Amino acid sequence: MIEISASPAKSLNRLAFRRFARNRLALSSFLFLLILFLVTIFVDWLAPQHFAEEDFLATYLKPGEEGFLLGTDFLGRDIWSRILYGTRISLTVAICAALASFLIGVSYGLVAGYYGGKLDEWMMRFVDILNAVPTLLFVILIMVYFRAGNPEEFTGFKAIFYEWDSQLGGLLSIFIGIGLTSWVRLARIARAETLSLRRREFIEADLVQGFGIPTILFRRLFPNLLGTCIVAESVAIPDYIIFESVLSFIGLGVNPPVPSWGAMISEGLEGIRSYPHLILAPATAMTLTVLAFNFVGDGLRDAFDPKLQD
Amino acid sequence: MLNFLVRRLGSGALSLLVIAALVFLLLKALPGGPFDTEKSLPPEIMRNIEAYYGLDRPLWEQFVRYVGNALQGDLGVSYSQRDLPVVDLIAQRLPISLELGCYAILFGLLLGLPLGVLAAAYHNRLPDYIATLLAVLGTSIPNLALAPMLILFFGLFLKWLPIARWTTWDSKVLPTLALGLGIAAVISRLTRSSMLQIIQEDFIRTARAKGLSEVSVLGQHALRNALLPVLTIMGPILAALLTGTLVVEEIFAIPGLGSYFVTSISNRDYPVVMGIYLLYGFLIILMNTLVDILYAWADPRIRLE
Repeated sequence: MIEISASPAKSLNRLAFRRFARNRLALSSFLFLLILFLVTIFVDWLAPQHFAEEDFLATYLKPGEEGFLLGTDFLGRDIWSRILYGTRISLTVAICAALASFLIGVSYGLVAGYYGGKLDEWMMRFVDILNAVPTLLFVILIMVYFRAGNPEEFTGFKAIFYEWDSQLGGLLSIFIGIGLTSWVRLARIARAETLSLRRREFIEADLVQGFGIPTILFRRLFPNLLGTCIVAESVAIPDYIIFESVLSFIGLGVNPPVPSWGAMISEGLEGIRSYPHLILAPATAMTLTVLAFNFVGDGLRDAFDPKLQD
Repeated sequence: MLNFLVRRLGSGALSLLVIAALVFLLLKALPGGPFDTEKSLPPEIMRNIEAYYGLDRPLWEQFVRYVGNALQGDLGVSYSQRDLPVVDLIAQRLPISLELGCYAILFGLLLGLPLGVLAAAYHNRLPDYIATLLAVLGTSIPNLALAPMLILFFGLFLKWLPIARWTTWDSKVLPTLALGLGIAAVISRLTRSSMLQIIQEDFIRTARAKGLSEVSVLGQHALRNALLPVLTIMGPILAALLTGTLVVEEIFAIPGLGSYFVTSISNRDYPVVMGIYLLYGFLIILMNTLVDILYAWADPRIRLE
């Protein structure tokens, strides 16, 4: 008699989750990000003041004066509140830009990888040409276009787009700008994965059964790509936060008075000698957030790495 | 080798052409123009001016003209300073940015390579941990946050170094650090992992068996091979350096190309913006092409692809 003992099947995701949980740095960073996420949702209740509330009799206060935790800026706005609201900006950009880039990149890579041949060759050639320019410069170019012109003269689609964009404080154009330029990286990865999956038997079985190509693409290939692509995109999120900060620093980012940390650094630059807290607060917030995203991204990548078998 | 060279230069030129096309189209799409004055000119005169500058020609013809002009060193005239050609404005500022960039790369190499080698040599011991920690911090902290912190700490708190100028040698230290630390971190990380891989190889074992000193083994035999990946990453490093100068020059008030780029964006001075952008694109493609060719020369396996 041969006894076959059935051990419970551990899915890849569960293994990865356990590996991630054992990485203390990644775990603590993830908890930190969770806190930031909560701040983003509940900031209206957590912040002592609204970010645009000015008080000209209380400008340039040092931290601790008159009850302002981190002091006030040149318009009398509470720095602590602005930092908290800035979390909302950074996290929103991180998620939405990643989503935009993910959608475009994965679709592109799926199509290129599935069809192969000449179409794939030309699509990848296009990608290679786009790769020549550093992303930030590309984003700046697009933002220059979005922020140009006199709003009153806009008609039709431009006017609608401008309306929505202003409602969001300028964030819509930033998502689109970053998404339009950063998809290239993910397209490569998605294409490579698709190429390797395409030959598998389950695809052939679907084709024989008569499933149409869109069905195969989205219901078979896409879920298998999800793991790798999500990890790849998470690793890029710190870059998106930095892009948005640099854009706001230059003046091509969010519309004032929306408090992006990059914009706060730009504002605090003039008073750096006498009022260092103006620039120290956003710089620290930005550093901590980017570090946390970096550690989580690295942790995710290590957790899903098939070579690190324990 | 020649075949590779030709292919590489060709693709580089193509990329540059695409960038030029994007820049040109954007320039056309943006509002404002060289003839926007308070007094509106009569339509006949406008037509004459447009015909003179070729603005009434089809778009592709204007593009060819634009590229031709650019190749001859004419990038148009600034909107804000009407009598100054863009090229002159750029030429004033470019040497300063180049100087800063060179210092940053030198610093990055001089700090990063030894750190990486040390970390690999003392793998999993204290120097390795310190070097890895510094490398992680260095690659994660963005320029935008690092530069003000350097200013606050070394410039204002310790008062060791002057800030906000580009004159004496000590005023150049902080900007170099701001740009160079990140580069050093990337290089040290890459050198370390590359060295760790190389050390496993058989030829290192042979060298040690021959009785060569450890310094010679690591410094000569291992390092030479470990440098190849560092060479490949020079392309992205140089691109990151270029975008880094935008922020660093602005923060340290350095009169270079980066800060001028930022200023002209705020001023909506589009010919200057596009001219600098074209120059950046050219520099990046040039550097990437050079790095690729250098790497193909150093590693013959690449040429055969």
